[in-house]
Amino acid sequence: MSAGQIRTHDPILDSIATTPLVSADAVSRTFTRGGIAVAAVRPTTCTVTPGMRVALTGPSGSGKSTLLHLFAGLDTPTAGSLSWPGLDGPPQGRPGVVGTVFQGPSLVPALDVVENIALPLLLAGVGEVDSAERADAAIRRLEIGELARRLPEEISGGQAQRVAIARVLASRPRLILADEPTGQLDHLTGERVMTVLLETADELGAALVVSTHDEQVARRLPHHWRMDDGRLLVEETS
Amino acid sequence: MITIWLHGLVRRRAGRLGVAAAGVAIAVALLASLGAFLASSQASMTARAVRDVTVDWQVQVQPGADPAAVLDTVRTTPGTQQAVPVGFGRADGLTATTGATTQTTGAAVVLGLPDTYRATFPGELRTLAGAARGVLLAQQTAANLGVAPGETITVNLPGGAATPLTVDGVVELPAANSLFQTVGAPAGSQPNAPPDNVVLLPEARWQDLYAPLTLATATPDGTHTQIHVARAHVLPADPASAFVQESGQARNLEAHSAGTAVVGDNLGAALDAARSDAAYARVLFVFLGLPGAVLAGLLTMAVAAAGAGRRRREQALARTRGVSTAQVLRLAAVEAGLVGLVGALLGLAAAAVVGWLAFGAVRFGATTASTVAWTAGSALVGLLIAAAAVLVPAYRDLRSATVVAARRTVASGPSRERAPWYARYGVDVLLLAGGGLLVWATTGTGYQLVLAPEGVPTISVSYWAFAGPALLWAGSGLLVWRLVEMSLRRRRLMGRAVRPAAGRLASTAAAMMARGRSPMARSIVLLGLALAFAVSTATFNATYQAQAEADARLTNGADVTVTESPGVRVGAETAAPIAAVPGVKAVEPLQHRFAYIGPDLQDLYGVRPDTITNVTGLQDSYFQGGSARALMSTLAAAPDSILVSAETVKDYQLLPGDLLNLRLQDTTTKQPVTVAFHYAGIVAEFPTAPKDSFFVANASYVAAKTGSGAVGAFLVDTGGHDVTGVAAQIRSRLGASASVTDIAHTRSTVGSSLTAVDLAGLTAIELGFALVLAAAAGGLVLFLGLTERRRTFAILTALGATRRQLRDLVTAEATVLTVGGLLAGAGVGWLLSQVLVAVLTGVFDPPPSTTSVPWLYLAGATVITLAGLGVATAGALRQGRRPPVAVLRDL
Repeated sequence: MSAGQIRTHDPILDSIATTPLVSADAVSRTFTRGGIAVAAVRPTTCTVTPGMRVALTGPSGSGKSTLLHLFAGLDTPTAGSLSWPGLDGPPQGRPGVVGTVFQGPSLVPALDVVENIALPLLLAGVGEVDSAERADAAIRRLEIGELARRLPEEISGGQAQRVAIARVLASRPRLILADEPTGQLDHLTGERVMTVLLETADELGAALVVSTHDEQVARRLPHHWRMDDGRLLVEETS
Repeated sequence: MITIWLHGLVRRRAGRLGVAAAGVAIAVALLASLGAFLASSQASMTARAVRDVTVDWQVQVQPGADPAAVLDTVRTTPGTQQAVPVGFGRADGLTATTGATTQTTGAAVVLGLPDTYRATFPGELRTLAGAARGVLLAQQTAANLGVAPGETITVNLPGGAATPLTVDGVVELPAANSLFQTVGAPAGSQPNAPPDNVVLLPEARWQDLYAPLTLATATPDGTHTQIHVARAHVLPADPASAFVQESGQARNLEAHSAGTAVVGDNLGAALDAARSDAAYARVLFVFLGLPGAVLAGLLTMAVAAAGAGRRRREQALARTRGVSTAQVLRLAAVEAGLVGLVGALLGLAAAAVVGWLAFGAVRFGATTASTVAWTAGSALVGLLIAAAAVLVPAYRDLRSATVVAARRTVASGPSRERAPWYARYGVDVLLLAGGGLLVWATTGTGYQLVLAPEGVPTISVSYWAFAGPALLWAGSGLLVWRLVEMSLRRRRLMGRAVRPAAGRLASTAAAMMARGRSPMARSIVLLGLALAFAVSTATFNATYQAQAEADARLTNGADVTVTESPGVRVGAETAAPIAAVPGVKAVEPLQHRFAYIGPDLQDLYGVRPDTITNVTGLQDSYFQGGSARALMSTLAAAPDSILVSAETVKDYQLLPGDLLNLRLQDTTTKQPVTVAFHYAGIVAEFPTAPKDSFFVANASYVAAKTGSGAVGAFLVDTGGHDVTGVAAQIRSRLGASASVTDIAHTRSTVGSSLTAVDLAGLTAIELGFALVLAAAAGGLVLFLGLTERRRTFAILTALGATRRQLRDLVTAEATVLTVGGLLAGAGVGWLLSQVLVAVLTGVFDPPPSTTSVPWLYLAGATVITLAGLGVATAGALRQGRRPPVAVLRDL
């Protein structure tokens, strides 16, 4: 197996997984900055199957976020092919299929917490009443009721990440992609956020891919993928 | 660091800088264009005012004084170019025998003109028939006597002498009013009606005629000499200053002549009349020009405010990197300076182009000093706007945007639901109430915006009149802001309102607009004020044009008017040959008589009430006590009804239905006959009627009671087509027996006043800039607002929003902005139009009863605004096509 080609061998998950959620075949992504081509992701082949828990580690600028964005359908590969056989096609334009927790602020500034959580549901065509109920349930699940009517500018970074996770929970995706969800948080808050993320994934039965450069966070996930200079190098399964 | 910052701004924030500079450029261009307009206007104001003065001074030699000495004095007076003596003699009457009939007129004036007179004062005489020199008869006199060139008349001089003269030509005296003025009469007593009969003789023949009389009686009644003077028109461009200089020189001559000469100062009179017009022109500049410049400034600030968030983040980043507050301010000042400088240069260039296109000049002032002042002033305003838009917010942020302040905001939470401070204190309502009161007070009885008493050198302008509209303007803007805020806060209502555009995302769209209601309200207010500016300016202009047309129609009477010379008796049957002229659609006879009410002699117009409106328009505002149609119906139904002036009603305490006995001349017996009328209504204006008191009655009734259906004038309708050509044909058919005038000529006369010319120039600029402002206020502000929320749209895309959903959200916002802006523009525009027309009522003649709405221009303004909004929406959606992660990474 060449470097960058990943296969999972967990017998339990293998039995559950029937079809990969995401399948990347020699996918690469190159950006052009100031006339210079920068390879963010070099040809990579991998699959994410239902129920997987993956820690995607690597130094800053190694291509972790780009790979997650490619998985989420938010970016287009420069070469190679990307498919979502277990998701019935690309997730882009289909709210709720993939839940993404972004590295930076990702809440709509003009909407309060409840509205932010309900937003993907409304975009997915869920009715206003149902969306509100599911948003309330997610708020209760994450115990952030006191934030419900606050605007993003009125809450802290950790609270914002919990709200982003609540948003994922409410939309019940089959694949959760979290890009450095604890990157801007203190250790304790980061621990809590990771706990919530794992519990959410368990509750939904969703696959979870978390990019992080925090070894403690990575250790809480069974599968370890490592990226370096755009290459997916190491496969570890704890 | 400043260089690095500047370099970075130009490279990375070129769009932000460019848009802000464009806003500044609009303001500077508008101001400088107005400067160019004022330069063009002022440079020619005095010249235009004195253009139609035929004789500058008529210096009357006083009884006993030596005309030659006075002539010498006048010729040596500084500024005198030409001075010629003119003899004024009086005759008891004129007689002419044509065929078997002899016609005799009443008193006549005989003028003695030197040979050089026509060359020196070409506007005073116009040859209608025969020779240009020799014995000339005024047109009316020739008609009264029924003579033509080559025929003989007899001048009956005082004392019984009769002198036969062979007529060489017939002339028209276009400036008869000033020519026959009573020199030295008190101000306000002019003009006197010119004499009915005038004979013009060469100077030598006049001397032959009157020298014996002068020898016999030192000052025969009415016989005197005037020195007619052409002055060098080296006068200040401003008519007020020119008037002071000119009238001062006239008074100086009188002082030097030691009582031997009195100056009839026609030049001064023209300047006297023009200076209030000039003051109105300046007032119009303030009323119509200033709001546009203020609006452009507000637009720039709104444009700058759209990028305030990013600027604030950059500022905060700079401070975290150790940049001091003073350095941050300097960096903001650099950005403001750059925006102001580029905007000012662009604006001046645009104004130069506008000035060149509109006025054929690229100067921004009448003189070098004023050019420098306008250029510097406009550029300075641009820099100030840039400073207010960029530097002031930066300074405010430095003072208030602290972590403590942010925490306080978070802690206070619900404060974001509070209304703005001005709304809590009702500032908008107070401003509107104050503005309304001021407008009411300043437009009340006896109100005159510009007061320039005849002969008094000072002009007073009622500056309180400016305050009313200004307060209403500001109050309306704030009220719109309050209403928009209130509406946007009602999210359910807004959700329902935008559901057609936003569909399932209606509540989200309503929530987003509710939270962003402050910039949304600002955008709507700005768009509303820009449209209101367009509406009010265009409506004012259209109303002015409509009233100018009404004035021309009132003055001329109809498309073409044939006025019979006094003494010529023709009946309604004369209409037939006029109606036969190609192009004539209808001819309406109009009687013109004189009637005594008590001791007062007034004009009386006999009309055919059923058909008068076939040839001329009668506005309801011309009448009181009923509409034009109703009062004409009254005249038709009750032929002894009569319409009288308001002054007559007041003077004679008349009530509707009152009997009114007027004395008219019986055509057969030439004796006054009492005719009974019944007062039916008030007439203030009527086609061909004078400005003062007159009567309008049923022509058949007048004819029956006076034994004559003689007609004074024929009103001719050509359907508005080729009025000049039709008038020429009628003129050639009727010869010198009647005066034929057309509305095209009258329109050009009415439209050549200072106010008309200046208003046309001003509104040309205003209407153009109003369109630019409306398009910019709608499109630019929406685009920048949406651009500033690229992160929001990127997040939405990242969450799975489809392009259609993004389009729905943007469309919902654009719809609210469009509908809100259009409603605000229509409402505030209507209000300001009414106020402008009321406050500037002195500009209108006659005052309008209703405003005229220029629907075509307003439709164009709406289309341009919608196009601007459409382009902005499309541009914002185009930005949404970028991959969301790329946007999020860049922002």
